Amino acid sequence: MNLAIEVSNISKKFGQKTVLDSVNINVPQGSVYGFLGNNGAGKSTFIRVLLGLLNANSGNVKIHSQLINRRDVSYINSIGCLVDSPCLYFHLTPKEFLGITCKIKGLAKSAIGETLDIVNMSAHLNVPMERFSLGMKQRIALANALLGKPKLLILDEPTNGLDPEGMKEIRLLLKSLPEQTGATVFLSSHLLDEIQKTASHVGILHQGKMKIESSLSELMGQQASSLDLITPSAEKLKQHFLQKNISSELISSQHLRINEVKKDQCGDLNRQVIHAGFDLMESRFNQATLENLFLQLVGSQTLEVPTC
Amino acid sequence: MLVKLIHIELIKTKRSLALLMMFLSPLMVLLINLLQLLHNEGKLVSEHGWSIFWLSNSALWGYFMMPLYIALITALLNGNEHRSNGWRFMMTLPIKQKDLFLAKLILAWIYLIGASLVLFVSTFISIICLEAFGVSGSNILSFDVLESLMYSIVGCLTILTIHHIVSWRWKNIVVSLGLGVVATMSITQLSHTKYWHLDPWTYILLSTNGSDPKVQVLAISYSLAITVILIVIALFWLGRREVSC
Repeated sequence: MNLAIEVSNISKKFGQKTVLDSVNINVPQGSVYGFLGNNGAGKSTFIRVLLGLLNANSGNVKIHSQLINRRDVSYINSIGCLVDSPCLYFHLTPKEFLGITCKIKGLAKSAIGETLDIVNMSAHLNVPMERFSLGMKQRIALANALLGKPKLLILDEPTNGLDPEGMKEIRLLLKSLPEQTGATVFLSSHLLDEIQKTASHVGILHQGKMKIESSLSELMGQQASSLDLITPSAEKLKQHFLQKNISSELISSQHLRINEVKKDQCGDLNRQVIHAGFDLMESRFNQATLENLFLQLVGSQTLEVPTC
Repeated sequence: MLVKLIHIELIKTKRSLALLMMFLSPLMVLLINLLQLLHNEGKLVSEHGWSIFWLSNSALWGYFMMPLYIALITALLNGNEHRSNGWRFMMTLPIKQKDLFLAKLILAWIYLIGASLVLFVSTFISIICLEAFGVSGSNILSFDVLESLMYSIVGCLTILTIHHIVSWRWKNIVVSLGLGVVATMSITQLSHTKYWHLDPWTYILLSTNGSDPKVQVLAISYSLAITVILIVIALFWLGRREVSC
């Protein structure tokens, strides 16, 4: 497997405080990698180490198989990034601002218009950015990251400040990039729903340590879904299922939960309840979500999940 | 890359006060001296010629306004980055901090040369205008002053580098401006003593001192030598320093 980012045993301390503790990450080329973590988990610090803005105390980072080194900054040519809040010179226009990146990376000026088209900002080419809303500034920062179709995009909270429509646009754009340009997207966020809709791979960082790293489909496949049944006689229904060797969990006198259920089994289970003469007031399928998994992982300190 | 970066730094000063200050600072000096000239109804010019006007302009510039202008322009160029998270933006591009440091220093120097030229040209234009209004004197064009302005541009390199380092390092503009004001006051106290070489702010004034060529050469030499040492230390420090933003 070709890796766009290969991080081995990265540790970073600020004084006595360990912010990153032997972090290992492997980001496959052409993937959309969702990097999750609570506020303060160390995501932004990790991204800064990745970009060479901070030096790690130990470990090393390879980008496209090249060991990064601040003395040789050529590797940054293939990276587009957005770190934390947008870094813009607000008194400049998007044309002038994006011109800085074009000039340094040696890109044609036509790239500015093309990229502004992608983020729907071409109408504001010559307007000083101090007049922009937060969402517009975020779009310009994103346009800057996309300039020159980089092979690797490193984005820290790219949908910050965007309205729902904007978030959807960016999500679709990021999802389509690997197919369209072959780019790899490394996406850091605490918006679990966004990551679940966008990413092909996921890594979860908690208190400076990697809790899990896997492809999203594999991860979701391991997660059990459940069916909640609301009936006035939940206890009797539990006995009924027990006779049929179906284990269930009594949540309350009217609430029964059947764990490890696949979606296509729900119809059959609902039919069984009704045929057995029970009143079924509500049937609710609980799809395994990244949010559930995340809460499980970061909520339980004793939970042991092997890192990849 | 350095030329590219200087151009980029120039673009960043668009719509900022940098260009305005380049004109305003020397014009303030000219205005003060013009008012003084008009106050004594041009008698000094009639007695001593225009040399007195040229000298008072270059002295006030070197003594007072140039050190303050240096504090202002370096604070402005680096403040751009502090305000906009620009350090982080620039360091995620394929450039080195060392190059950025040098580009900003060189641009600040270019602005300073520009301001000195504005002073020279505006002084000449004001003399022509005053001649037209009947104030007449000898030495309408003083190449000695142009020469001393050029020396001051070299003499100021040390404090330009000091101010650049200070405003690169400290976000708060008050640090740079405060240093500029306090150190400018020290010129009056130390420039006439044997300890002048300990105060780099005196180098500007003494590098323009045509009456004592020995001191003039020393001031320029000190300025160049200390500037080189400071730049070497700063580049070494930047090579080790992380981008703390």
